[in-house]
Amino acid sequence: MIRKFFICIIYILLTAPLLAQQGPVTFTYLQDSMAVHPKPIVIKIYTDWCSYCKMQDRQIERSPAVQQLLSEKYYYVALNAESRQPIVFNDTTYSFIPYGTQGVHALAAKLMQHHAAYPAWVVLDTSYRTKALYTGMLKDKLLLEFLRTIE
Amino acid sequence: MIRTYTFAYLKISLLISVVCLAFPSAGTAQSSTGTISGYVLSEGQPVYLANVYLAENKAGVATDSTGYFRLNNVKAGTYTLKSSATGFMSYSRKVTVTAAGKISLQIRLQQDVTKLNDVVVTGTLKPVSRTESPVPVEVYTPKYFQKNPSPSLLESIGMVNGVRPQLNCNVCNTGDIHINGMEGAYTMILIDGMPIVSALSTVYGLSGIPMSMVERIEVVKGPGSSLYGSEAMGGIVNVITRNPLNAPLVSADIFSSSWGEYNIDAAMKVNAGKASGLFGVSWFNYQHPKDNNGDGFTDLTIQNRISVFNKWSFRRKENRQASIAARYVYEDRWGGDMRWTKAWRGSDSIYGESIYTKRVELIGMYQLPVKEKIMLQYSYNRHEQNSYYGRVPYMATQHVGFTQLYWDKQLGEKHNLLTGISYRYTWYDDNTPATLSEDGKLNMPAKTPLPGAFVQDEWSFARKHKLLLGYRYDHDKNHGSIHSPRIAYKWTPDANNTLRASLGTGFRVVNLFTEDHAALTGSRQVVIAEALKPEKSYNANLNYVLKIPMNTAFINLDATGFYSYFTNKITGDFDTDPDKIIYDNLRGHAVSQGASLNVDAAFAFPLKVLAGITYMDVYQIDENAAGIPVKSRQIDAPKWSGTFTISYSLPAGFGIDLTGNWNGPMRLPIQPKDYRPEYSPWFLLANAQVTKKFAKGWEVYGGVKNLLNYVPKYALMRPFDPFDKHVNDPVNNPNGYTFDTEYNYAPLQGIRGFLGVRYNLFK
Repeated sequence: MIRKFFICIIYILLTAPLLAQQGPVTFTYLQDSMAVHPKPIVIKIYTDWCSYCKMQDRQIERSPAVQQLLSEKYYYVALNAESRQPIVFNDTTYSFIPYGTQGVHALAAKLMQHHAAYPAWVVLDTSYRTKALYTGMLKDKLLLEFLRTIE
Repeated sequence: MIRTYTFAYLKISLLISVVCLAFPSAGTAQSSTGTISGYVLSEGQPVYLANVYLAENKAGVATDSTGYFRLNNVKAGTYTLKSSATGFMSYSRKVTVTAAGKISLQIRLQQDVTKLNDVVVTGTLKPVSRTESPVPVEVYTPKYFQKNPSPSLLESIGMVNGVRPQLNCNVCNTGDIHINGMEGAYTMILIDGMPIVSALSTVYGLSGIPMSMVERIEVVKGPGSSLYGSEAMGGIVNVITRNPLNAPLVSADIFSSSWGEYNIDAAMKVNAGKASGLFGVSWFNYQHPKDNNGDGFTDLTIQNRISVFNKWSFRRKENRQASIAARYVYEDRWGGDMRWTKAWRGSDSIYGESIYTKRVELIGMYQLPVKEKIMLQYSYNRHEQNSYYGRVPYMATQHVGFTQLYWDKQLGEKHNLLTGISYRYTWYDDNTPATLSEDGKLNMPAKTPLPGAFVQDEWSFARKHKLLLGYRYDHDKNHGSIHSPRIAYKWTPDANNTLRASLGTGFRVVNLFTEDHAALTGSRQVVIAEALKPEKSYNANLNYVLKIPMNTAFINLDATGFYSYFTNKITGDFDTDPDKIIYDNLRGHAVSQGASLNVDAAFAFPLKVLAGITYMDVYQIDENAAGIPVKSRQIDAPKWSGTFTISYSLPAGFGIDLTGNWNGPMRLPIQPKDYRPEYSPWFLLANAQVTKKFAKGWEVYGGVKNLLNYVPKYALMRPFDPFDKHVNDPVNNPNGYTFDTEYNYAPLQGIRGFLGVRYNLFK
């Protein structure tokens, strides 16, 4: 009981600055928070070289409504599909699958059902079941629509 | 455009729901209508923004993010219910709606991989990118080259800014790849990082690399001998072959042009336990001699070429890599007098250049089953050329064996170490005096063993800074020890800015008979002034990449400044005597300097623009007979050149590509008192293409090459006297011109149409 109380305190301490910041949270943070306060998850899958991903970020930046929705109703995480770091997600560790000088992260491959196209939007419920998958850039209004219909 | 399309449907769906809300009684009052509702799923997952509609009355809705849709007020009857979504194959079924009936159903869409790759507003494998390395490496995928489909690497590579496929002979169409104005002999062609296309095989080997075996092409402009050894002096083109593990099950690409060129590429994948095998065949055929410029000679060399490729990849524990590949190429080509037939091969009555090429390659890679990442790479190739240039025979055989063992080690968080040893052995024999003993009595094939060792460290010494230090040692029996250092630095102050600075060196062990095809043509005599020394190059390269993200556009600017200094450059002198090519050590030096800019722009609407421009100044400084240094411009190196690719996607799977490359004046090899101008004019070769994608992996494409019908005004000199039988005729030939095939700055092929079909089947 006391342990749970402490976790809650830590959770509040952790979320307070993040709510103000309204950016994506980390996978470590997601793992910890889902244990105490489950919420649906929105994952934006991107790569460093993907120009539409950069445009997508701009679309989010210019829409306070989208940012608000992402931070209040969901845990919003950004996943670099070519990240070399192992990621713990839903108690499973996923790592990078190399292929020559390139490759893809196992988590991205799993979430996108092995079709690499970026950016990709994945919505999961509190039991980590995929509720929606959309590959492609969504302009702010359409993104809002996308996120709202999931709720 | 696909996105606007779905958006339009979304609007329709919203409109329909508004209509439904406004007249809630309409549906119930008319009991002659029913509803269809359900979910659109793919592999059990909901599909968002899928269109669901009735073919008969076009009434449609888009699914919400749970995949749910509902069609209200459907009059009783039988309909064709269709569903489509970007990235999925379209779906269709019959439904019968009864009055006041409620139909509930599930639609399962099959994913369409080829279509998904072209969803307009997603980035898939970037067609053009730069590697993370501090050394500036440009990466091109076949998708980029498909915007102007060509049967071979040699033609396709011209779409890269600063890279120019140069035809060295108007008759036999041999070509080489010039990077930043340097001759083809300075460009190293690698397959899977190994020197497989070198020396003799560069003459006709480049046209024998079909695009169908290519996974991606990496281009380095500037030397890279610290990693690759001899020949990497001016630039590197590294062809990475397809991995069977992620190749389509069946793929085919067939196209033909209005000139009667046919190209067939087909590949099939076989899975056998832990192994995946890729079988590929590529066939290019052109058998219709054309002489549009009326000089009595073929404009395009007649070619019949077949290439068979087989590669196996093995799934191993802990993602260890292992693969083995083999390839066979056979080519029969000839060009020359329109009346030429095989009966005239080697004769001095009707001129023709006829070349048979046979080539076998073996390429393998094996990661040792140890904890450390240690790779063993090996390759072998045999290249055989049987040719006649007019009446001059040239018969040559080359064997190249190569093996390399390297260790790739991450040391802590900051160091990535790459160290290894390599051994390359070249055996070369031909029918010329080059492979004879000094007294001319014994045949002495040239044997060139070249052992080497290299070490490279990529050091991330601070968060945004990366330094690459490399060094290579090679030992050649003629030149002794050869040292090749390299230093490169990359600074990434933020996500949108990258600066690279690189200093590199290159060297080359010379074998001139195999490297300059000009030396082989019967129209000139080869003269070697004295014993040749090894060649070296030093290069400095500054590259800046700026990304400009905007709300509805993204612009990537990539600017490079380069300076290369070549000491003891061995040059062929075409000018002093039109009957000779004089090879000599250069007393002095050569310089290639300039700058290039590439722009890559993507927009929220389906337009993509890639454009590049290069300015270069390539010259050599050599002492004349009096010992005074004289500067002269490099032949076939335009000061200004550029490329562009403009792509636009349309609804229903249509796409348009406009591509082109242009060149400013370049110096050409001319004869004394030549009537042909010394400098070529400005010219543009433009191409247009329309593609249409169909369901189940089919794609049809067609278009026009050389849209502006640009053909060079001058080409051959004295084609009516190719054996120089009537040169000494002061009345009809007062200037003493001789037959010459090297004056070439653009292909002789004018406007032509092409049509092709592609098929890709995944799993």
